[in-house]
Amino acid sequence: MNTDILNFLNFAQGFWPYGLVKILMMVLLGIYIIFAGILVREEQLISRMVQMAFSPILRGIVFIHLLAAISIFILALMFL
Amino acid sequence: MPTTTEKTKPPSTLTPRGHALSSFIVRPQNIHFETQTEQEEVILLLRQHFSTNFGWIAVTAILALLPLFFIPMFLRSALIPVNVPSSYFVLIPLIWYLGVFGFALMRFLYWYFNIYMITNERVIDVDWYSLLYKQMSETKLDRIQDVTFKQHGFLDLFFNYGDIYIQTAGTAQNFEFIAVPNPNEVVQHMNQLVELM
Repeated sequence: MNTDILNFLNFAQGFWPYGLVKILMMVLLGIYIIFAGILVREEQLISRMVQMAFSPILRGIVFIHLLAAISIFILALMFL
Repeated sequence: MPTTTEKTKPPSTLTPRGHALSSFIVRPQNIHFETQTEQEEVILLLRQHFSTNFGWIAVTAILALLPLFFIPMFLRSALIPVNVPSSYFVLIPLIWYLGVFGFALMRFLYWYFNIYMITNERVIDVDWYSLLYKQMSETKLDRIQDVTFKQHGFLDLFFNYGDIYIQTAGTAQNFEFIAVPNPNEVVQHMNQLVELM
C-alpha cells in the first residue's frame, strides 16, 4: 500500500510542473480550436444569409485562423 | 397613382457610394441576401459607425503590446526558474497572439455582420449578438408608420452618427438601428421610399 503511494508521489513529482502546464495548454488550445471552428461555421451561415463583396476574403481569414489554431496545437503537443 | 414598377423604383437622386467595408453604403452593387426577390434592390446598407470599434481596437493594441514589455521584464527578473524549456518562450507568445487575433477577428465579424438594409420593398435588420445567437428581422416599407432618430453625446455629434427608431403598424416588431452614420440622411431616404409605396 505504502509502495503504491510512494510510486504515485514519484510519478506526480516527475510530472510537476511542466507536465501539468502542458496538459493545461492542450486543454486551452483544444477549446480554442472549437471556438475557431464555430467562427468558421458562423461565418459560412451568415454569408449564406447575406452575400457581400468582402465575404470571400473574410472566409479565407477565418479559415486561416482555424488552421493556425490547429498548427499551434500540434506544435504544443510536440514541443511543450 | 403610381404603377407597380414605379412603386419599386428607388429615388433617382441616390448614386452608388461607399465600399465593402463602409458603414454607410448607398445602392451597394455586390450584395445579395437569401430572401431577396428579383425586383428588389438594396438602397442602403448600414453598419454601426466605425468609431464604435475604437474600444476593442485599443484593447487589441494593448494586448498585442503587452508581451513586448513583459517578456524582457520576466527574463531580467528572477521570477522565471532557470530550467524552463526554450520552447515555452516561443509557444506561449504564439498562443497569446493567436488569442489576441481571435478576439479581434470575432469583434470585427460582429461589426461587419451586424447590418441594417433598406431595400425598395422592406427594412431588414441582421443582428449577430454572440457566437451562438443571431437574429434577422424585417418589415415591409408600407407597414412603417414613423421614423425618428436621436443623436446624443459628444461622439454621436462629432462623428455624425445616431440611433434610428422605426415604428411599424400593428403588432409588427419595431426596429432600432443603433449608431448608424448620417441618421438625418437615412431618415430622409426612408421617408422618400415610404412615400413611394
